[in-house]
Amino acid sequence: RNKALMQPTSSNITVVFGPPVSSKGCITLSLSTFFIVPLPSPPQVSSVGILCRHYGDLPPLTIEDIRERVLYVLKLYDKISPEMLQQNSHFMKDLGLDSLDQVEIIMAMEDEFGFEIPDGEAEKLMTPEEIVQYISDKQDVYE
Amino acid sequence: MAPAGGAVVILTSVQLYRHLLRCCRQLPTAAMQQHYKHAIRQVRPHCDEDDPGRIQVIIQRAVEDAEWILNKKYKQNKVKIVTQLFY
Repeated sequence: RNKALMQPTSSNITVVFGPPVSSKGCITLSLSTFFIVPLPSPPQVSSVGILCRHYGDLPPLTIEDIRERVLYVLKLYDKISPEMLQQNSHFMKDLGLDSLDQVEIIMAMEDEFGFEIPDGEAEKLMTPEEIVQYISDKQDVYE
Repeated sequence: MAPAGGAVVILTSVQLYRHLLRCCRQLPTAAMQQHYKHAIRQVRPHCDEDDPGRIQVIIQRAVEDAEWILNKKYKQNKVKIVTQLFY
């Protein structure tokens, strides 16, 4: 057996009982049956790893993420052609939508981002960029 | 402006459209929501209506119908939804 395992090296030790087997196959009990094994040191967990965990929370939003998701939702809307869609396209003047389509777009944004937009402010959101700015303000996202 | 939260001010057809779509979110299944959303979109043929009296009748009728459907859904929970209209 390794002699290093038999010597107590620190106060963090434990005693393991293990009867050695004799060469003839019978078990003999003697003082040499007690040998000391140091416990393994506790695992080192970096505090950075703990701080980076968000558990059930979402990763923090950025303006680029919001812009990408807004444009993605708009491209999926059947009355908007993705080729004509720009950051500053006006829903009615440039994309040819009506006021009811604008209501549906705002409702789709509410579903996408998970919060309700009040009617008074929803009526003012007429371009993708305005929607991005409004959502950034509400979600406390800054550049 | 949740329909069950109290009074809902509906003066224009756009507000009616938004109110009805919000009512749809309270329906229990996705299939029901899609069904009634499709029904709500059928108001578009009325977009050339220019008689204010007729528009008010359509708004009132639509709100009453939405209220009836939501009350039918909430009947088991003994919750009564009353939507007040202000003209």
